[in-house]
Amino acid sequence: MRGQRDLAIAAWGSVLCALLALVAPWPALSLVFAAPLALLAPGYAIVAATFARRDLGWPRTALLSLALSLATLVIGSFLLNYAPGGIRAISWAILLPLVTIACCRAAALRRPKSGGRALPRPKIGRSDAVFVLGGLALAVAAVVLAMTTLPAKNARGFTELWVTPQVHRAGGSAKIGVGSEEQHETSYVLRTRVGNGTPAVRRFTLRPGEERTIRLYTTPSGDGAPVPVKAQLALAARPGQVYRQVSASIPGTPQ
Amino acid sequence: MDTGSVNAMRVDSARLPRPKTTASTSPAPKKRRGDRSHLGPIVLAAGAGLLLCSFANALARETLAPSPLLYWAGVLVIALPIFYRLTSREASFGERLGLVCLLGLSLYMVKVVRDAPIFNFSDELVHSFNANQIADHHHLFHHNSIISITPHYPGLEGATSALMSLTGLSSFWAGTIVVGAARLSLVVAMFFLFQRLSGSARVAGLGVAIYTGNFNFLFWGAQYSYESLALPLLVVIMMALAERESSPRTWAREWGLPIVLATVAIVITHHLTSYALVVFIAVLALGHWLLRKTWSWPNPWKFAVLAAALALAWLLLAADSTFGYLSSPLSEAFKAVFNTASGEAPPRGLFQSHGSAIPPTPLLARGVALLAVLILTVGLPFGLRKIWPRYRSQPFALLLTLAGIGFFGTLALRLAPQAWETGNRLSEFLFIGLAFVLAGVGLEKWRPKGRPWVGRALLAGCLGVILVGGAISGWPWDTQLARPVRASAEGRTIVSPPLAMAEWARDQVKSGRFAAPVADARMLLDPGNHLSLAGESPDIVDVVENTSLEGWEVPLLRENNLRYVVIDRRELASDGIRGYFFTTEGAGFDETLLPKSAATKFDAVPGAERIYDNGPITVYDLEGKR
Repeated sequence: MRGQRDLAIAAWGSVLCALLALVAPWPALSLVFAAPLALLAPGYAIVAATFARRDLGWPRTALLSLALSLATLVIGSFLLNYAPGGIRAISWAILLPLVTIACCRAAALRRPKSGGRALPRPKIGRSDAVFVLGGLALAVAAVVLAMTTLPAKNARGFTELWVTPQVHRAGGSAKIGVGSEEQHETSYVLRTRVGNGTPAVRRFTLRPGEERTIRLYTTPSGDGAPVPVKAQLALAARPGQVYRQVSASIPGTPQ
Repeated sequence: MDTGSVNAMRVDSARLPRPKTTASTSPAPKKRRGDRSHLGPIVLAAGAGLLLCSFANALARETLAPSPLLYWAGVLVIALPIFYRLTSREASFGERLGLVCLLGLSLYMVKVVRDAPIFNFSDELVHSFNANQIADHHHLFHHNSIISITPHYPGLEGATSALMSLTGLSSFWAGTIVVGAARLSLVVAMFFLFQRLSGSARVAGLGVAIYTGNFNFLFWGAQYSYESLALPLLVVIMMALAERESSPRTWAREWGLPIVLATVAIVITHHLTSYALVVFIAVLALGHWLLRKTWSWPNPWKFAVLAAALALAWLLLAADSTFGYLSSPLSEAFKAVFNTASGEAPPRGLFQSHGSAIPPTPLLARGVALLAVLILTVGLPFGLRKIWPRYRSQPFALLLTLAGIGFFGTLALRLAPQAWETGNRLSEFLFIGLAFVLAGVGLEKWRPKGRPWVGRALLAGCLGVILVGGAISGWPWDTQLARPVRASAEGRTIVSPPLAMAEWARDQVKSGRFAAPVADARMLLDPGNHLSLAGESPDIVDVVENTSLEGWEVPLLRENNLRYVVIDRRELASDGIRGYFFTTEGAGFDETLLPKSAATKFDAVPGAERIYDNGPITVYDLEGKR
């Protein structure tokens, strides 16, 4: 690829991007390397190999680079499905640079000796640059606003109560959870009963978005029969009124 | 912006002869005074419009019921400056290309800022589940219980999995980036297609602007779904075929590989688009033969044969259930058209939502939507008048013209109850032709009393109406703005009932399939990460909505290996568009509940335990007492 700067950049750049995408510690940083690797490099290399003997012009080259990269991802996932290891980060990190390097090599062989392509150099005035940066800043603000969780005072809050039975070697247990999706801090009364045992009463307060879990244990039953667990939740303001209730059976574990 | 050698099209080249070679071979014309690019200020306006849309959505998520005008103002602040500039003679090729990219991406971002950071279109949750399955299991073709055909067309999810696995991004962000890239490809390829066919960059830019008014452009076509990737690839193939046709024969062969690669990708990605591709290239080849009496170059019949062979092979080898998936709605559509036409069934009312409690589309909005269709209809004969003398010997342009006329047939399908969805899907494809026909009308050249801006402003206004009207026609009025699925309360985050249930299922239920209403079932897929069934086949609807237990219901659940039943008393739970969000106090329509007995009927089932209860939603474990 001597003398073909664009091909050299695409080929070596894809290898570098694959390595950096794999080792980057945060998804956003990894995306900086993965995006050109996945959405540009293979398509560019295919275009370079296919249209080696003439210049399409950068707008068409850019379009085909993007579209053919997408096509490469689609076809690549199908091929990787049958490859050892399947569809994994490492397989993509091998496949995409491989396609890019192979096509760049083909392009270098097919291109006329003086056929190196100049990379586009966008010319943009200072005032335009300011406008564009301003527009991008507004767009980023729009996305940040969209991702911001906002109060919704008319949204109807609620509370969830659940039970999950679990079996252990020494016996069984049930995990009971209370999650508050209420708009305000709420106080609860939780009544639980395991088998024929004495009901237990717990009082607690949860802030919105908070969860409280408790675990109730049973001892192994003599006959292996399941042990029923019941939980009733009431609001502390109306302790006599059942607000939520769940039940489960802990599978029997004979002694 | 450097437009490179393609600057050739910067003059209003409606008067230019149709190019015979690539644009790169054309000489660049001299720059004229007043030709300064306006792209910078227009980018700023687009950013401001997007922020306005995001602000309107934020108010809606805060349940403050903002005026929809705020949101539509945002859409128009994005689009109108672009439309107006696209009507000008002075804009260069590069500027028009930049405007088209800006238009496509900005309007896509309108959808993104409505939903981020969680998918909430019904098909999106199905596809994101598939993407998660690929990322988790490292292979394609994992079962999807809601739309079982989707894993057999894994192109979109496969592409998404590349970004997910390389970066660790969620399926939402990886999918949003892939669909965004596809969107960019769509508008740019369409621009090049129209420019190649018409020889005018102005007509090309206007064509893309008109296409944004297709009913599905703003929302449905921008969702994370397989067609959102396949349709752009189809347009890329159309562009490549047009380029190939206008290239010297010695160069034409080079377009073969991009066409083949994109064809393979479409076949793997989406059934309907692959069939549309076969039909398109086959009719184009036939058109070549009819007009030029030859099967040799540039007749693209070989590509038609290849596309047909690949689509057939995929259908038989990888996705044979497509027959059943497509035949049922298509036969229903045919029946509905026949019944409506013969007067046996009443026509479907326009702007109707399926629940009687859903607020109706306001009269003004209906008026804008109908005005948009009226503008398209009135424009058609003017476009045809321009097309016929100029393109009557060109199969490609004539095929697009036929598609444009065919679009009005899809409008008729909207009047038949079971056919409207078929018409809606078809319209996305046929609108490409309509956009091409209408782009050449030439309203922008109208200069009453020597005022050149009048025609341009009128055209930009019409494009604005088409854009807004199309969006109103394509997506229910009451869901144009976001609804809260998460909210902050006292500094912490709370989530909607179906999301809370799905997150509980993800965290606490190790295995087992769920029967659920439509919205809950989709959320159980993602983020719940559990297989779930909904709908009428098998009849889950009655199981979860009936107020008393019928004898067949529990056996049906057991036959289908459904261990868990989700009863959601919110009537909106059966709505795949509106069922994911918080109930809003005072909104009325989303507070309607099914009778309590719809849930409590399962208390009497032997072996069943109520293991989850969040008020409106109850989950029963049918094997709870084992």
